[in-house]
Amino acid sequence: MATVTGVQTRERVSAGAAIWSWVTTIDHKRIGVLYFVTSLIYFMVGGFEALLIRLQLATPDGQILDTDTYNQLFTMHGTAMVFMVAMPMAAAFFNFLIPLMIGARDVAFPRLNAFSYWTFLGGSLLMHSSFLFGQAPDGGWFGYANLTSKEYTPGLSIDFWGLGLLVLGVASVAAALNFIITIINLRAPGMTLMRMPVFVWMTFVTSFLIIFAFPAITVALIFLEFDRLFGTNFYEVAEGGDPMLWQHLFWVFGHPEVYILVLPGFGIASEILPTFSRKPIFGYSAMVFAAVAIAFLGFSVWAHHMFTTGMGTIADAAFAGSTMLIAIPTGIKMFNWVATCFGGRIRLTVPMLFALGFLTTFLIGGLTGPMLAAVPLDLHFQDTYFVVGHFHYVLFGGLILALMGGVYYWYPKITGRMMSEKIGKWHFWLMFTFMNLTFFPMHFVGVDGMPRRVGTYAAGMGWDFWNMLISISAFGIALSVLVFLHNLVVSYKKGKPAGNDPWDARTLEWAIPSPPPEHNFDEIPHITHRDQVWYDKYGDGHGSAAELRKTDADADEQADEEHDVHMPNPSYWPLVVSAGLTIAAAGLMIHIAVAVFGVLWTVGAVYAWSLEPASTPSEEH
Amino acid sequence: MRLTGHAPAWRLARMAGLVAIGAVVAAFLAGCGAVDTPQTMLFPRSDNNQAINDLYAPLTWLAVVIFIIVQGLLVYSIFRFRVRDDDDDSIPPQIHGNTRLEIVWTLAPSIVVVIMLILTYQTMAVIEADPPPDALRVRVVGHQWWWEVHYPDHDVVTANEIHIPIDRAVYFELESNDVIHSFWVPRLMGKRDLMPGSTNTIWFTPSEEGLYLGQCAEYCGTAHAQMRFHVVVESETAFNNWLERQREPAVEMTGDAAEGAALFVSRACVTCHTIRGTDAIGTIGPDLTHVARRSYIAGGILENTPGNVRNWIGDSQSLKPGNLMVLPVELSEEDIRLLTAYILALK
Repeated sequence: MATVTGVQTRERVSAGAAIWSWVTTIDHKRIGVLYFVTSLIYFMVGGFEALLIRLQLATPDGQILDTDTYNQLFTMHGTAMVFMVAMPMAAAFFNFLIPLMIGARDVAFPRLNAFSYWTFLGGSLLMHSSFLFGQAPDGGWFGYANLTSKEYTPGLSIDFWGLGLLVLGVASVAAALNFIITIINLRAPGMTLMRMPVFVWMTFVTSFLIIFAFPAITVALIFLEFDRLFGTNFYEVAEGGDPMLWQHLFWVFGHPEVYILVLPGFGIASEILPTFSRKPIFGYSAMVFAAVAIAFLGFSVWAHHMFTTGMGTIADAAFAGSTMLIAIPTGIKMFNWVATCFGGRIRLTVPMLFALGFLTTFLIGGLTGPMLAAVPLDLHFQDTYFVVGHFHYVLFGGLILALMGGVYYWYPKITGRMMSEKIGKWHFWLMFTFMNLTFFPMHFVGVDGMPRRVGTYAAGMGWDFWNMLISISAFGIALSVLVFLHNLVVSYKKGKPAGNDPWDARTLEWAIPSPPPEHNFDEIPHITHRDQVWYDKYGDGHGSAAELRKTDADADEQADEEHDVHMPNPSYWPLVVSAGLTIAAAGLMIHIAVAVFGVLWTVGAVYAWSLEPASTPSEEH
Repeated sequence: MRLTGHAPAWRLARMAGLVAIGAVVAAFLAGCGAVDTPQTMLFPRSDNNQAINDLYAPLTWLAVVIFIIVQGLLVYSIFRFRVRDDDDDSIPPQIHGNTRLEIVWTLAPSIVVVIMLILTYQTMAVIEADPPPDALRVRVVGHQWWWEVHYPDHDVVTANEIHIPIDRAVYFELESNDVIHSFWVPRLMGKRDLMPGSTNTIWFTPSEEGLYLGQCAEYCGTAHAQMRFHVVVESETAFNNWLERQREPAVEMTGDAAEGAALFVSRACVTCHTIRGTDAIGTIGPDLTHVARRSYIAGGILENTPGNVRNWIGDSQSLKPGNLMVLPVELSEEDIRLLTAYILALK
């Protein structure tokens, strides 16, 4: 067998060679691990920012942070959590799982995949380097024009933000194209679209959302940077520009972005719930079409973020209607998840707890959504803590809980070891309790008139108790994250060996060893059914558990045979191209010559990349 | 739940967690409709705000009922179908779907959505209707980080404190001098943004006298959190008296106040502030002609007391960091004393 994923074999090689192998890797599994570890670090950073914010808000007239620092922290907390935690952590799962779930050896363009990761890293480092210069972005995560103009925010803070996001956008679009092409072209024989696991469908839909939504923010950001760097007037009111243009462009991206963030969570839950209910997902086609419907509708609701801007009654009414329509496909999904559990054999393992926690909290976030879509209510809720509570239920409850469940579920596949169930239960109950105690009271202070983005508030507003509770609970979430990190590390060293299929699961990745070999499948599987692995074990669903062990043993025997598999070579060119792009972006803040240098670097590196052979001749293998 | 025997510690944590969440929700439900806080949106004091509030209750309860139904089904499934100790490891029936059920739960949310939309549109028809023709016109211009207030039909300019009469519709024209702000007096009406380059409007008829808190609700830069204001709803007579007084130029000064007035002109204050009847005609900061009659200063954040005025003149940056009142020269203690006397005399 060729080398395994690498996580297991690192000890055998020198540190330098190990690092070099990670820098040049184009293996989707290793890139997945890189995405995961990087986004986990940003999760710590964003979480630390949140804790500072909560320290400041714990009491009225907080004195911990000065105003400017506070404004930087909530801006970077939001930006980092959306673009450097939620999206790349979902990308980590896409990377690791999609080829395994569709029976492929890798993604369609492995080097482009590496390029996506390094570009994401470059963009995120570029933006975070602003802290070193005391120029951290401070315009809010949706950076409304014209506050972001040179006139009202001089310095480089907005440029770090805008250029960083532009670089991140390149990474996202490249990755999305890669997954779309992978899913269309590399499915194993027999895996029709309607036999794909729901997670693959969600990745597919998310990727389309990314390639359609990111152009809008890219245009918005280019206008912004042209205004700031070259003196154009897209958002300059005095010159006839219009700040509303930014809001429309941003939210045409921004609302689909919500579904970009949350559909991967839907996908993860849709894998975990069937496995631990020992039933197939209920209403598979409805689940798929509901997600597609959400994606389409997601592009027609953007202006519900703008009800207070005075668009007029007709526009308000139309966007209220389209927004509420999304409740229908979302409701379908919710009922189908519950029906998946109904009548099953439910095992309350840690991944299942997180999936059920996701259903509960996402339901709450989903129910406050239509309240916000009711225009008259939104005139109050807009820009208050009610909204903050709402979207943290959707994003923490809907995405982070699902991602956590996904980590517990696939950790055995990735590392070959089980995560501790006992520590995991501590993790779940701490996180679930404290996230509710943090985010639910936000609705109360919102209704009581506390605006978001205020670093100080007067005593006697009726907010003191709730804010103290929220702040204490935020530290409870931090504690649960520490428990999680502890579990990650301890289980990596001491976890029980996982075997191929520790959960008695349903999809293809569980048919191969844990961790999977570099080439994934010794032989590309032939697909005859949805939930192929389950079918292989139990037939049409009336077999017994004993048959599982038999087929499992067969699979192990097969795996021992050596097969000659062509794998592409490692390459450092993706990293070099990404570095060039990042330098070009940074150069726009330093001197135009540096930017030109960065562009030339990028073009040169792309040229070198394209001359590099994808794989060495087969005799060398 | 098996709590007998050796209950692992995480089970106790689970119990404690669920109890805590339950307590918070119970506290909310108990308090909801009873807690009257200064800036709450739940105790409306105008007709249009009452209309909004009448929408709040049904939509909230609808959400609560849906939550109980769906979550109830989920919790029931978890307890009913959990693997027991005596589980025979058998495979449950592999049900892939049920068309009839799926049609039911496509229709159910559709009906709920239609109900919510009808209620929403009904309320919109009320609050987005044209204001009555006799409505009082008030023009509010947002600045970083204070509010300029005009009564165009009465030739009055003031700042940060808006007086309106009870039981008469008031029609706000909202504009911005710099970036986007948002005008929000939660007890009187929902918010509306002040957009640079265009005019937004909002109207309501206040129904109870009082001093109401307002706050900028759109992030507008450094001192956004301290961009507050007040609305005084008063009787028709009191309002007319107030208007009368506001129209007049500043009163004549004597003693310390007169010296302060001279300093005001010589110490760059005039660059930004207007005091009608004097040489001060700056338009960058708030009009101070009758500032001593306002209840609050500094964009609604400080009570208008001699101590606060003095501190504000002496060191506004520590009270409201980032505010644009940056003095080109250091003021002496004596300067501050005289200027304070002047400001306090601007009745």
